[in-house]
Amino acid sequence: MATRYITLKKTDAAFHQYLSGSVDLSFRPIPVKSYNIGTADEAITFELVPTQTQKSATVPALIFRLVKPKTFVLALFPFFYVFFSALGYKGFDFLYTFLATLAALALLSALNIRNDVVDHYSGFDRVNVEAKPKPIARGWISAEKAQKISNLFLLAALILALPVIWKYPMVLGIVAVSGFLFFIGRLLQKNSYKNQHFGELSLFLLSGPAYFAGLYWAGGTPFILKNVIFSFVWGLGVLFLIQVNNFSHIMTSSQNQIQNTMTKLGFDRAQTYLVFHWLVFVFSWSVFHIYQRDFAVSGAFIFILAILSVHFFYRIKRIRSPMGSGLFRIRKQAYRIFSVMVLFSSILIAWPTLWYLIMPLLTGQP
Amino acid sequence: MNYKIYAPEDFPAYLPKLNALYDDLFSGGKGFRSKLVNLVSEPLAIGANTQSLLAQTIEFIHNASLLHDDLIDRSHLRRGKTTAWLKHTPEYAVLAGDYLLARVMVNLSHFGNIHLVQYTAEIISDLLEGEWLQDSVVKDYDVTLEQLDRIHTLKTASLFKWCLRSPFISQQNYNKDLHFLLSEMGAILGQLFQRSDDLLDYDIRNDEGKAVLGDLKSGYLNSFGAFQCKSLTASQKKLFIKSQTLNDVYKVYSHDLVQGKQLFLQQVQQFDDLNQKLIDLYDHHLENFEQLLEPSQKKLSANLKPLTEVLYWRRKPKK
Repeated sequence: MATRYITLKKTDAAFHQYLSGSVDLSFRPIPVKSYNIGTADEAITFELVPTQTQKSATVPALIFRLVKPKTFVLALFPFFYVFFSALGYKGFDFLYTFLATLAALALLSALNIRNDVVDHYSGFDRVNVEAKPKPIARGWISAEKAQKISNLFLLAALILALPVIWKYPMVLGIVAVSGFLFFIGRLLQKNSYKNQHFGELSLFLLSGPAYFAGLYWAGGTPFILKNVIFSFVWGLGVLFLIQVNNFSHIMTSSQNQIQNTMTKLGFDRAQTYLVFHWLVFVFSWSVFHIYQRDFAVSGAFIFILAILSVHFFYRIKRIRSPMGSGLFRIRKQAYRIFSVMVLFSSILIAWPTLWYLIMPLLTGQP
Repeated sequence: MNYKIYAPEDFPAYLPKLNALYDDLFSGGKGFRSKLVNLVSEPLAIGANTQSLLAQTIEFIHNASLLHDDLIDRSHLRRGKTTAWLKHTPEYAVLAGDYLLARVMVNLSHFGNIHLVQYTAEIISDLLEGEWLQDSVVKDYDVTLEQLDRIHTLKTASLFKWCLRSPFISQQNYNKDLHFLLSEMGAILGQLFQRSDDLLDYDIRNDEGKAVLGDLKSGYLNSFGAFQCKSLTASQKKLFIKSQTLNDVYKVYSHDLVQGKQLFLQQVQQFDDLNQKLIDLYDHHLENFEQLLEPSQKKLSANLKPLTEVLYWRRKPKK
């Protein structure tokens, strides 16, 4: 049987219905190609897949793919850091810090799903076609339903955050700053599909200093200078992941006039930038840990991370094409080296406390 | 149709080797692109002189890319003959390609339709971008089908788009909706043509006797190669890349040759199914396109309908 298609312009009455998936339940409209994205002439061709033949994932698999648990490290590691650094503080409130982290995880899930929905509506998914399409692009779930799930996670985040804000009103400051950044981004259309510089800055601030501040205040502990410094270092690391991801799509993004740091720099200079960015991050990270722990303790980890980084730099500079598999390999390698950094950081941060707990067991002395 | 000479200044005899080089190169070609231009031009009642110009333009652009391609790839044969760079010199091959592109610009400028000149220049730019990118993925055996599609859209598909759109532009018909559909249809035709050509490398529907596994041996994973690699394990892929014969490819799937060939042909079937969806998309656009045509132009739709049969399935259209 021939595949059925329909092409709709943005100006067509049914355009939004088809895009959100809120049409006749006997078929699922899956956008296969977008034209003139972000212009008045925008149009989309939809493949009309009969619902009976539409393959879909199990509910857990669907939620897993939507929520992207791999990104949870961005919320969990700061909690880990705050927990171990604040453990000795007399007034540390573990419960509310934990609640704040759960709220952050729910918010992150909501944002990950919303990101997929936005990419679907904006056409970003049709521009940057991945070998493994996202759930909405696969037709596993309509954009409308995905948005509803995102809203549920957002509600969960709010419910979890309310008792924290009630007990520690300072946390409201972080919520206000986040909301302000989001509002300004929308108002100036700076945080849009086409112009992503503002989004990069917002992500750096929100994932780093703002989030750390929120966790410390949720625990009733002060946000002291050394932790402020680490929060900026962490934000730099998270921003690096964003840049690597943008680099992996540099050609298609450039062709669609998306403006971000990578497309502005161009292929050759973006490679140099990524090396520089990670170098600055590793240097900052190393200095922080040497200062906190001394070189004898941190030296081995710094050395291993440095070796891995040199290999990483070599691989980045060897990439010949904005179109080949090298880009995605570099992205994978970036995520791996970031994970190693998180592991090392976790050990360095937790070790003094764990040693304090383990020592009596080993020596038999209290 | 002889499109070598459109203007009296084309191919002056005083330039050494140029005419011989041209005759060698063009004599073996099928001239499919110029035929496609004529298929579109006739229902539009475009004059013979203009048709001749359009036919020359597309063949010159295509053959210029072949001249440069053969030098870049260091190919020894083209259309059963020694390649131009090898038979003459690399310098002449480069200059001959440049000459063809220059004549295109001169003749189109004299024609006087600035939109046509602009569009042709864009297509040449796209073609060169595609060439540049294709060169950058040689020996990349992890390149995906989606990535190759982008390269082919620039390289192969852009010329097919030109074949469909240029006759309308030459008549100063700039209807947005019409050109949008022609562009999409041209892109699909180009993609299907490329994918069918890539299947020839694996001796599928290879009536023209193209050398088997030529792309793979040159270090280039074509679209069907990339499609197969998607479902291969790392060890299977290592074997696949080293294949020198079709039996080697079958052995990637199974030690038993008969079973291996069956599994390979299943991959061919899946690839065909994927491309059938593209053909259905082409038909969808063609339906919408037909509604934009004047009654006197409806024959154009009938001319365009069987192209997918010819280009992908390599079958003569049913009458």
